[in-house]
Amino acid sequence: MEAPVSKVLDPRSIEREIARIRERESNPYSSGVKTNLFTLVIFRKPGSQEKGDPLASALQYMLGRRPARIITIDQVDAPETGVTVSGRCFPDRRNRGVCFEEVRIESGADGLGKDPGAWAPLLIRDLPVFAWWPDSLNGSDDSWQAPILDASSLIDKLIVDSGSAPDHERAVFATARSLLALKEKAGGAFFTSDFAWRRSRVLRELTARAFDQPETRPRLAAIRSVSLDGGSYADGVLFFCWLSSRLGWTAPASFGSHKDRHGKDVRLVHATPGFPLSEGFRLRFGFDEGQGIEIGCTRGGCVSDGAERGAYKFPSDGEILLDEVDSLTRDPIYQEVLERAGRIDG
Amino acid sequence: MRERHSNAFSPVGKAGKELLPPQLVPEGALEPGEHDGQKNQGIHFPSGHLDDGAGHTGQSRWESPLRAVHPDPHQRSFAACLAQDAGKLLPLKEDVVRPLDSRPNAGVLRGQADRNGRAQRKLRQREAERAGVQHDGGRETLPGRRMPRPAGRPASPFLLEAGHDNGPLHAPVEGEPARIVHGGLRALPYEDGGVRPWVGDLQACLHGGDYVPFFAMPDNVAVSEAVLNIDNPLLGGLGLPREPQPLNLFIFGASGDLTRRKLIPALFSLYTKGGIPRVHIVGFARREWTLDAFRKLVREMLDSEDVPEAEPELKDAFVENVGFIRSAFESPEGYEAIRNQYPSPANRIFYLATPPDSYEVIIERLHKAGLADQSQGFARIIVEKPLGRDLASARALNDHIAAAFSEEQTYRIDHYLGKETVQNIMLMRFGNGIFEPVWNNGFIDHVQITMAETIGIGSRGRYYEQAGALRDMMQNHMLQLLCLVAMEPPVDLHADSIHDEKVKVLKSIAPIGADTVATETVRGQYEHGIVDGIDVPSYRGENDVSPTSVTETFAALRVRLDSWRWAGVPFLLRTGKRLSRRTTEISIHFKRPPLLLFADRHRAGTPPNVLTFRIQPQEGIMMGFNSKIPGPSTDMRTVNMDFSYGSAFGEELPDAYERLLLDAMVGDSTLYMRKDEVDSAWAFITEIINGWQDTGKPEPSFYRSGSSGPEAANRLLGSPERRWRRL
Repeated sequence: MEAPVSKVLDPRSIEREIARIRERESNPYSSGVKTNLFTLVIFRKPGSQEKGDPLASALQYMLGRRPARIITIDQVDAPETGVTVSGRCFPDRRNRGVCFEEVRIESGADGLGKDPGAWAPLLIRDLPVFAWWPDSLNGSDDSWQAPILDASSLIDKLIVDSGSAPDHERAVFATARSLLALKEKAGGAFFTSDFAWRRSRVLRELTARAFDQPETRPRLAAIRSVSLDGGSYADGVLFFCWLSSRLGWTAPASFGSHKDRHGKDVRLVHATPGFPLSEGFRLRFGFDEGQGIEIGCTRGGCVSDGAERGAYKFPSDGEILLDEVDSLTRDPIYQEVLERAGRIDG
Repeated sequence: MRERHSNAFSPVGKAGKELLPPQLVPEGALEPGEHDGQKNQGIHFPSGHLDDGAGHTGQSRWESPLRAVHPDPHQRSFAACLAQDAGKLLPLKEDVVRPLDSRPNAGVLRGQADRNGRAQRKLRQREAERAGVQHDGGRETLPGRRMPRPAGRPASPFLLEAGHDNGPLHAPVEGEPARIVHGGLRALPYEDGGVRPWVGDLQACLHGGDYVPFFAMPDNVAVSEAVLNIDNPLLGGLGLPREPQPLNLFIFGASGDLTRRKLIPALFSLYTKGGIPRVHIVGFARREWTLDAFRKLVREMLDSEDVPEAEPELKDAFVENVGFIRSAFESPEGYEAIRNQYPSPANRIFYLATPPDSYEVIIERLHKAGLADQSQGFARIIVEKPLGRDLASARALNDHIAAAFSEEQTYRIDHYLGKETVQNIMLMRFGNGIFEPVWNNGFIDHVQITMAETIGIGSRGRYYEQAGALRDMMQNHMLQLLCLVAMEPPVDLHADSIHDEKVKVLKSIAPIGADTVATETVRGQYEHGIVDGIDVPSYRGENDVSPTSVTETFAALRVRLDSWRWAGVPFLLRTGKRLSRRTTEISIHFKRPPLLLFADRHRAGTPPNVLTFRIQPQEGIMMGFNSKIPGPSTDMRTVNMDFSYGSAFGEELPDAYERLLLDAMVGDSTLYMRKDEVDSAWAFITEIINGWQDTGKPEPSFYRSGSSGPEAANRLLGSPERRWRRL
């Protein structure tokens, strides 16, 4: 339900409208409405809202699971800033309303909407604030960072998707550098998490488990080649950088060839990039001697080193977003990987 | 000078072969060298296949379950080292091992890098003397060995410092291969089939020129897992949930209600989360079903309301993993079929989802068929309550189980312990700093624990006539909740540490016997009335219930704990059927302020603060406190600070059985009941039962269905200022 409140960003009016809509939208027979857990501030780049709403499915997944206030800041081609207030509620099993309170700020030429002061009063006090940049990242262009840096003191965690970078390795490395630069500029005010990191977790998890057996564990030191079929360039870079970082390999200028702790070459190959991980993938590890290890997943399930690993559960964007807003802990391994990727010229 | 030894070794005592003698390694002579290219953090793992002759079976004094559970060269060599037993055994206590350094996930070594000097050295000197090892006070001994371990793993493994039997203890430094302490070691079978080393006289053990690490393990971590903790850096940061080893889960009573309502839904939920990729489920029942018929039944179970939504393909895949054995519990052929039709994986869990009178025959048959044996894989048994009907029968049952399964193999389920909200009691108490200081008789007036049900006995008349509320609810769930509220903080989160504290609580309960049952207990029986809008019959009017039955459907106790913490604080426990509301809760009633400044400002005096744990429904925690009413006066009223799971999350809490099943699969018995817990609980309850029988007191009180129970329960309050929490 939409009701244009005012062209002036008056927090009190907005709050009144939110309360009114909430009461109307929540189930009148329910035992109550759940209280909010966090505020999610979504920063959109100019024009993105015209291309349809890719956020919709992620937010839809969260609807009914986590009550939250969602503030979206769009940049529109209009002389003045406008605000739209809406609400959606979804009953849970006990018929209680799990609601989104939605405030959409269309920042016009007057620039009012972009100023954090315009929406900071709408943040729910004492609850975490997540910022989300859902649009694509282009490593060579840092302009997207400006509104986020302006609001850095208000944000606890920034969520991005490095997988949205143009799909080639150089762009991924550039994006990594861009994210590292953002961290520097923000001075530690918030930390960043990454959809692409979460999406590619399945690669790390299955690899860690495959080498977690008594017979395979010693072979970690004897890996000579790793080949990945499937996944985007970002998936590949994140995975290989993770592997190399965890195992203490050094990364020479050429990404594909690393050196292990003993100075021996390890060849990393992203054999068939450009296919979404959700469709499946295959990892092959080659060693000094002995049989290789293969890990693979398709929609039918996963197999690791010849043993079935059950269903292939690949997370949707909605599940990833839910995971992200449930967690306020920094992932040091991701930082490690980002730093490694950022050092590669590509 | 270091001599290299071949990899070949054999257990002591095997004809023609001897364990290689230890060698003294001069300081500085060691280099972080390589062995078959598998140097890892300075630890040399024997690589390849060790030639240990016929293996390590029954040749040493120690019957190692290790080899059976983990047929791994590291384990065998460890076992071989352990075979060389000598001297007095000393338990490896936590205070002997200390954190190596402050780095997260650093491994632990006996002793610590002696950077600070004297105090540490003195300690080591004493330890060394105790261990019978020569100690050179002038040299640094037992310094630490940095053993990083991946994040996300349970408490660190401890690498036991090496020593030499003919020289001073010489510790490795970083980069140097770790040496093995060995000698007088015996690995004792532990809960999950792994071992816990006990240290005796320290001797050097250089095995095949390589250093075989072994570990003093925390509970429930098998040796191979401890080894894995050391050197799989890929695990770091993943926080991977525990994953069971490949196993077969045999459900006896697969056609029953428990399987349908709880076990299959919980297993499916674990399956959909990817938690049990290598678990094979096999039903065992006497029904004349084929495998296909059973699978069809399981598939139907997955369509019930108790099972979360999932894609049909996922349900189909789950069902494909299900097997079936048609057999009567008494029939030996059924147990042979377990072995023959499902020989692998060799790890097995037997879940007895049957009436308790079937336990004995099943256990006996499992034993006779050799299925409790752990030489090829672990074997565990899960039993549900009731575990006996009094102390004698509980002990008899335990003895029967123990004849086949060790305590480490036995998992006694109380599903309440798997509930999120029950687990939250410990987290609340020990995960927050504000509660423990006031969690005692200095601040708490009394504690109420209530388990109220609106349902009657349903079709369980025959069982309930023999049981009653005391056996059905008080002996198990209520006393477990009491333990969680009253226990001391455990030293760690290992299963035994927690069980130890619970047993202490149970043992501190002042007995209620023939001389005190009349005053310290109340028993009641429901009459007809209105519950949830329905006119319900009296207990004596239920099916399979004697019209003159005196079985109690309501029981209340005033429990006294004779401990420093709780002396003088009554624990008021009540449970009953056909009450006005279904609720399980624990309420902590604090004492009033020592000076009642506002006594006349509150319409009810100054009500005490009450902290309530709502176990079910409306799971959450509530704190009542007094607040000023807005206005010119200082009048006040009671208000509530309320955390409710239901006010925050849109998802349902996971079922208790999910957690419990997974725990049994990974060998974690924390949320199960230990034998002595069961014994202690029965000892207390049996004395009450005997007191009732011997004295006939207190006389059963009848209460109307839909009420709060018998009025007689009020006399247990012991003070006119106390009230039972309204249902």
